[in-house]
Amino acid sequence: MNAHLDDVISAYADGELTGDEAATAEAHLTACPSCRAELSATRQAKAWLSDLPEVMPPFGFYERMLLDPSATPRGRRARLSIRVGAISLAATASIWLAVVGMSGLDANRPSGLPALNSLVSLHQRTPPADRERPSDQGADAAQAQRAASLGLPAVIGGYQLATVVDRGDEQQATYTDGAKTMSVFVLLRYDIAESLLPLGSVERDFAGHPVWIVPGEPNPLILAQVGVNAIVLVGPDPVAPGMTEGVEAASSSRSILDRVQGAGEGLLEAFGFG
Amino acid sequence: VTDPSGGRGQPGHGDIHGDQGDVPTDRVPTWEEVARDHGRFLYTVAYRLTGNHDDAQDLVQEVLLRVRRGLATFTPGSLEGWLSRITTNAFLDDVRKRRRRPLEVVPDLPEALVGVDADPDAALAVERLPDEIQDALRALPPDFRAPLVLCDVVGLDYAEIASTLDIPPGTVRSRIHRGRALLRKALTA
Repeated sequence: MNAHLDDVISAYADGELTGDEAATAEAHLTACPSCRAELSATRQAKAWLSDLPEVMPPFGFYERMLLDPSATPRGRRARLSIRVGAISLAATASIWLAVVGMSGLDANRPSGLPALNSLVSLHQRTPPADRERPSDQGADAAQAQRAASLGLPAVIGGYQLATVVDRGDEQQATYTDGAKTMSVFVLLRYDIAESLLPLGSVERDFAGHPVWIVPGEPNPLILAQVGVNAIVLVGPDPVAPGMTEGVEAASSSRSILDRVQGAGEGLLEAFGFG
Repeated sequence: VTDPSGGRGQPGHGDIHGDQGDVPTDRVPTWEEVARDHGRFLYTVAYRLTGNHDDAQDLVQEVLLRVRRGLATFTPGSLEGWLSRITTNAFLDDVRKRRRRPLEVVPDLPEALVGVDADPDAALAVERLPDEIQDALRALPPDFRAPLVLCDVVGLDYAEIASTLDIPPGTVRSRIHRGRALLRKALTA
């Protein structure tokens, strides 16, 4: 038998050998238990790393960086209302609806728009078992208690509390109406900066509070500043076809608003804005 | 900053300059686009390289500054490969800046590491938590950590890694192999 394969084993596991080299390595592996063990362990080590999950940046990380004068090439606009024409909604799967309640802003707290993509992604990745818990079952007592301690109601609109997930600086509660699921994130001690709403935002009015419609990712999204915390509602789940006809639909169609209005008003009511 | 040839075989590299108005956006992303479209990928690579959030944020900031200042040579075709290159180089630059002495000498692997498994054909999957794996990864010397991250986290091939790190392909192979062996040693001890 030839000498052991040594680092050829990693190259083999990575598919980096030519056909001839691979054939030679395989011939050796057949005859050499030691190298077979090494190959097995090498594949294990590779799997450890390749199976590692993506890492979320802290909320507002990129937004804060983009705002930092020492790092940004230019200042950001202050007002964004009614700029629907700037971005075509036709290319997006749906809209974000943002409700920004005004509160005293504290310069010491993090500000900026939270990483909305991350929240939508977290919502979408919430295990089906949690998302599809039957509404008649609802959350257990401990979950309901945790939600209550966060100021989250047991029912929002027609949606019932299903689960509460502790994600550190943000807490995620899922609500379901039996068919559709939405998530409510509580971003602890977080200020939403109105000026950072994406281009294309449209201002609306919910119960006397400004409402922002923002083009974005596959789930509708509502933001509200409630005291020192920010509340972000993601969902309900994917938009039906026909709701994405474009800019005109976003600015004038009731269907998009109707879709999130119930949940939005319920949320506002629950937090004392109603 | 030069781009060693033989990487992804993409001719016609173009430098990014401060004035990006003249540059087609489908070829050269602005740093806002990088943050928006590849922010999580970039952060993940930075976190896996540095092993903690503070250093990952510093590293990402440095990457975006390099993108903005035109210090990074753009490679059309693979945006994430390009970002991985900038990130890894910024990481290794920082490592070398911080340490006074030359590259750490990594001892040869003990012979005992070869064939330690009792049953050579058993595919025993050893479950490890992401934090355990990250801790073991962070304990590796940076010159072993970087190729491993590029290979197994980013998914680059050896030629791309060699180009990114400006080292010979044979060195890539040996560092990846020894890096994995050290990782196994840490996680199966």
